Amino acid sequence: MMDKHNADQQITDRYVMDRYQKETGQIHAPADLIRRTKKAVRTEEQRLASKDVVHEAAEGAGRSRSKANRMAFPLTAAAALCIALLGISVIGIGGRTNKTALEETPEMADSAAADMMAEAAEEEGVDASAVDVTADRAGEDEATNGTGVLLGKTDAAPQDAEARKEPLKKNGNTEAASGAAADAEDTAARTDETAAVSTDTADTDEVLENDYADSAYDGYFQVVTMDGAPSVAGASEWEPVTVHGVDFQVTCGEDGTWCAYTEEGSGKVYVINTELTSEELSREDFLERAYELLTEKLCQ
Amino acid sequence: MPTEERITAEAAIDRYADMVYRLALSQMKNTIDADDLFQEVFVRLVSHIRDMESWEHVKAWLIRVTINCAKKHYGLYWNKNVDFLEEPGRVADGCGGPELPEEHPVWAAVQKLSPKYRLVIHLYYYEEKTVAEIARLTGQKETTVKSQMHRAREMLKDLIQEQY
Repeated sequence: MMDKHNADQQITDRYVMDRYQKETGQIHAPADLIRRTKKAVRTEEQRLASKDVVHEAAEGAGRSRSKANRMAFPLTAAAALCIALLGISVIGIGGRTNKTALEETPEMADSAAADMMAEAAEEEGVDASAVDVTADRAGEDEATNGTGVLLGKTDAAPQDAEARKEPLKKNGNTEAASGAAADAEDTAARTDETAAVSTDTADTDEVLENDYADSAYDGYFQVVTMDGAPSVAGASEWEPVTVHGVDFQVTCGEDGTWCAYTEEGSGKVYVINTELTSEELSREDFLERAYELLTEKLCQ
Repeated sequence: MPTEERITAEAAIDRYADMVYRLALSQMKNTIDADDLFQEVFVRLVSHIRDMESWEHVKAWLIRVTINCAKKHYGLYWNKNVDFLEEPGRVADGCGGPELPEEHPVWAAVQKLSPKYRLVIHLYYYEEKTVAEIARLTGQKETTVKSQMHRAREMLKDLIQEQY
């Protein structure tokens, strides 16, 4: 009997799935919407490109300054060397009685000049690397043609960026491949996709978190901290219910949506709202979820 | 060997417009909001396009952002307290004209579910994602997704049976 029930269930699921796929497949994005969206996308690309141009102009000014700096140190070193040599020759002309002094002085002068040259070379090296970085960035900007759109991944700068990412990717794949060989490829693909989704969700989730800075929100439930019990328009009496040792007061608003709150010892009240109605969600499931969210919030 | 198409926002629209639109429509209460959501998602993609490493990456990103933007929309007071006169789902055929919901009973039944149930049904039945993938995309536990799937299927079965 149970097997027949399960088989019926599977047949129904298969039927619903097939029908849903067929019906959904007949839905297409309107052509006008696509046109408007492409236009909006091009506007956004131009806006980002103009931001890049301003950024590049600022870098260009910095680059010419650093070029001047690059020349300054060798010139300074050369000047110092000339002065040192001039000093030596003056000393040499002034007195030739002390051979030891003559032997030592050029060496000292040479070493002093060498030290100065070494210092200049060091600083030149630092500046040179700074210039190279900005040159690479310029190369990358050229690759994007200043439009903010990557023209192709075959250019040198993007290739370097891709190459730098490779070791990280390989490490991820190595970790993924530590399991059975048969699952290695699937796991690696899912790991990459998960990593990609996780990376991006950080950005998108950050935007959402900023909108609800003083509350926790998971899309359909909201936990808000208040100083007193909430008032719910048209609600019936609050009913006390204990869930996993936590005392809640729960009610249903005139719109049919659930609301619950629980008081902390310090007087703080945590209110849990949901957009789901009593028809869509039972009171027990609502309170179960409320408890989960509350626990997550308190553990943060 | 054909070279892969360059990853640009416009190319992403050509590839995934229908996918994003179907997901947006399954989440929003009306086509106007679905259109807005659609546009918002692709405009956001522009600033992230350089980070995209493959088309699979783009697809996963689009699904995730569509879900997040839809959730954000539902959090707004306006959308919690305002009813729309328009039918929740406008079904468009290839010619651009709407079809009657009666010809799409399963789609219409799914539209009667609450947003989170519509989401898991859509991701499971249409995008053919696993429970683990749905959990990652929606930021929920797998047990929660399983529970939602079970409840959604039960409700869907009742709704479809009512129609027949």
